[in-house]
Amino acid sequence: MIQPFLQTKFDGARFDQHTLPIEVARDLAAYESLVIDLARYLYLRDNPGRQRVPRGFDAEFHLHLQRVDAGSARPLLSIVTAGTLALNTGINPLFEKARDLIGQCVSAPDGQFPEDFPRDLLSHFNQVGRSLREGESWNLSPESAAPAILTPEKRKHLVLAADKVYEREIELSGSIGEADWEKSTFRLRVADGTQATVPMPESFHAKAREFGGRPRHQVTVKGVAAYDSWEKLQKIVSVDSLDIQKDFQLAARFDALSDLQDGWLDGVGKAPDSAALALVAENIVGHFPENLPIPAIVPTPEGNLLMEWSLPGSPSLDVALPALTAVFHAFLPDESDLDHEFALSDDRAWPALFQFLNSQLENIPT
Amino acid sequence: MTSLLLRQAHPHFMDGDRITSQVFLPFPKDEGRLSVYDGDQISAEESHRHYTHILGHSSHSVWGVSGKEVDETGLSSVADPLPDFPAHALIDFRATASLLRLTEKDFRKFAKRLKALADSRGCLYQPGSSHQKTGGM
Repeated sequence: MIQPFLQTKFDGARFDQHTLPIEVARDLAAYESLVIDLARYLYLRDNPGRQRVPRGFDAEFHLHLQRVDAGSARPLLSIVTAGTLALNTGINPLFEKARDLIGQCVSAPDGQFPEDFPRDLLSHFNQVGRSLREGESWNLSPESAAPAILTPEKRKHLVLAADKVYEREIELSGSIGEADWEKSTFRLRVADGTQATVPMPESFHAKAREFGGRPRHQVTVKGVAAYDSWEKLQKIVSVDSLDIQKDFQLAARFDALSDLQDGWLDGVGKAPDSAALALVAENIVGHFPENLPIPAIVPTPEGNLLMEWSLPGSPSLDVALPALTAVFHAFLPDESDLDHEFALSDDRAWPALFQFLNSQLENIPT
Repeated sequence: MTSLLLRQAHPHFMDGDRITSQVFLPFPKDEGRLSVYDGDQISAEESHRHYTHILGHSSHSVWGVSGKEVDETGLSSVADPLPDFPAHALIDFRATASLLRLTEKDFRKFAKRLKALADSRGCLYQPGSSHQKTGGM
């Protein structure tokens, strides 16, 4: 037997097509968990002589996503029960009361929660609504009742009303500092100065060893972190994925160059040949000598590249695309020129170029 | 010319807030002549406004070299007033190249010299920034 329990409503760009992103399923599961915990609390409060809820109290309470209606996305959550049990008992009214209380809690002005809603259950909002993004909202109230609009900001306030930190999904990038192999954690150093201890699976140990202490390579941590009310990162709670980006500054630069279209220079300016640019990026990203400063890399109007270092002698490398030839130039201390040409179409030419750069740039007097 | 010559830096020729020599390399369409503003006739800020609002081009910031400095690099500068753009001037790479039998490849070396001079002078104007030196008026 199927009995409607709550038709909720999600608003925001992701829901405009009247569909639910899969990740929202976690919010719905977290909502179900909150309903059950709140119903249990209400039962025990109303039955002070009981130490625990009766056996099978919530055995028949399983929310199903019955359908998603339009406007924006309105998932109908229903309870599916075995026929005889449903006929015998119907929905336990405490679950419906819990549903209504959750709506009242969300719609309540800051700090004025309904008396029946225990503060310690507010931590459920660390999970309920966690996938909501800025500009999105979730109405947790039955359609007949006043709206109870959960937003990322409201969710934060609900959790912080009972706790010093709240949790949200994160995507943090930075370099790997020291690692603690026993605890299986590493120190993440974010460019803004933030540092955090990140739990890592054993399968990541080899990469942590390889890239630890090498700030040109970046790790991106996706997961959940705890923040205080001032939005200061307190702790990485869980990690979903860890991805290494080698030479992330160079990689970002080549990504930007590959986005250029013809006419990028105020209507003129040829875009770099995409295949040749990809080949240059492939040979530089992850291979660029770590002892050399990273050059500026800019496009030229002819569709070529200029790599230029802010070093004495103004060393530079003009790379012609798609020919894959390069001209190195630097001023020597006696004001004469150092010129050197390279053909870069051969894979073996790149190590030779790096060796040349190592020898020349390291010897330039500072 | 003896005035400060102002050059607009296209955003794609910047490395963060630093210029590259590409800023001082003539565009192919300019046939070896680099367009600049005569700092005696227009301020760095006004030149930026003219370049972006009137001409509709992109400029990250304004940088400058003096006419004397241009001479010292071996290049020359000349006023090139246009009917609707009287402050227009040129740094001429072409004449020097012709004289010294240089190729366009050698333009990079001159551009680097100009870039180094402009870099040491510092940014003359950048919208929304504290960079606002006296770029000549």
